[in-house]
Amino acid sequence: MKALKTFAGLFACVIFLSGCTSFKQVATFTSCSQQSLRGVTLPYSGYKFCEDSCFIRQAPVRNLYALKCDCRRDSLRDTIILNECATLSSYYAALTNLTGASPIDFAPVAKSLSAGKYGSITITNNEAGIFNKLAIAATTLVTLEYKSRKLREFITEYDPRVQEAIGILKNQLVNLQLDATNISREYKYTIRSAIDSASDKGERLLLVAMYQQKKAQLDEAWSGYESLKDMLDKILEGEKMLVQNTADLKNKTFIKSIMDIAGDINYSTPKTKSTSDGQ
Amino acid sequence: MASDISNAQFATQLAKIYSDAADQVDAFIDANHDSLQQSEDLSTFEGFEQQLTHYSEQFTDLSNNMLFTGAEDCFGQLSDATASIQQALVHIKDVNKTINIVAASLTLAENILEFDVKGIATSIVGVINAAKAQGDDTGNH
Repeated sequence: MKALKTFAGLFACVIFLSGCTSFKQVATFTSCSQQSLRGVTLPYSGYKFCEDSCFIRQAPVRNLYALKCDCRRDSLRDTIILNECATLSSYYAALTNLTGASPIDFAPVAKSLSAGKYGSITITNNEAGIFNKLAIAATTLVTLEYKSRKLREFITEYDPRVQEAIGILKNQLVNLQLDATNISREYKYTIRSAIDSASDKGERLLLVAMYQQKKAQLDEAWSGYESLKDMLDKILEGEKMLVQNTADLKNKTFIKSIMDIAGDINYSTPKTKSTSDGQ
Repeated sequence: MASDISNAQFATQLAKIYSDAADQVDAFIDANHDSLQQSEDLSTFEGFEQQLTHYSEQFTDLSNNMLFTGAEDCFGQLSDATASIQQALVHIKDVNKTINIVAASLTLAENILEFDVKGIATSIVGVINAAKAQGDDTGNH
C-alpha cells in the first residue's frame, strides 16, 4: 500500500523531470514541493471568514443593502499567504533547476510586501525579511545559471529561512482552520437560537437544512487544511533530510527516504477545488 | 527573547485552547439543552460559548499579524492554567462549577489580551482553583 501510494504520488512529479540530472531524487523532491506549493488554494479564506462573521453578526438584516462588510484586510492577508506559498514554490523550482533537471515552469516571484502596517494588517520585519530573501535567492538561482556543484552550498545557506518560512505558513494555515471551526460553531448557535424561536415545523426544517449545508462546506474546508498542513510537514521533513545529507546526496538510504517523502507530498496535496471565493 | 514566530505560535495555541473550550460548552448545551432551558441557564451557557469563541478569534487575529508579544513571560505560568481549562471542561457535570471555570477562563483571556501581568497571575489562580473544584467532582486532581 505504501509503495502504491509513493508511486501514485511520484508519477505526477516525475513526468516533469525529463532532463538528465545527477541529483534525480533531489530533483523529484524539489519539483514535488514546487508543484504542491504552487497549487495551493485556501479551502476557507480569511475573506470568506470575514464575510461569514459579518453576516452572522448583522443577521437578521432587513435587506441585502443593509449588510455592510469591509473584508479588504482579510483579502490582503489571503494574498500575502498565497504569495508566501508562491515564493517557497519558486525557491524549490530554482533548486530543481540547479540539480541539472530540465528547466521547469518557473513562475516569476512577486515582490513581497515590505515590513510595515497596511491598514490593520501588520507585516513584521522578520516575516518580510524571510520571504524577500527567499524570493531574491530563487530569482538569482534561475537567472545566473549556477552550476549544480553549488547545490549543496545553496541548500545549506537558505535552509534556516526555508524552515522558518514553512513554520510561518503552517501557523497561518492553522489560524485559518481555527477560523473555519469557530465560524461553524457560530453558525450552529445562531441557527440553534433561531430554531428555538421558530414558529412552525417548516421553518425549523429549513433552518436545519441550511445549517447542514454550511456545516458540510466548513467540514470540507477543515479537512482541506489538514491536508495542507500534512503537505507542509512533509516538505519540512524533506528539507531537514536534505540539509542533513548535503555531504552525500547519493547515499542510498537518503535516496529511498527522500523519494518516499516526495511521494507523500504529492499524495497529501489537497485535490479538491477551493470553495472559497475570496482568493 | 521569543521570536515573532514563536509568539505567533503561542497565540495560536491559546486560540486553539479557547476554541476547544467553546466546543466543550457547545457539546454540554447539546446534551443538556432542555434542562438548561428549564433552569434558565441556557442563555448563560450560550453567552459563554460566544465569548470563548470571540477570544479564540482575537488570539488568531493577533497571531496572524504576529502582534502577540510576551509568550516567553506568559508561557510558564499559563501552561498550568490552560491545562486546567482543558481538563476541567472535558467532563462537564456541575453547572455552577462549570460557570465558575468558564468565567475565570474569560477573565484570563481578557488579561492576556491586555498584557496585564498582574491580572494574568491573579486569574491563573482563579482558573486553577475553579478547575480544582470541578476536579473534586470528576476525580481529576
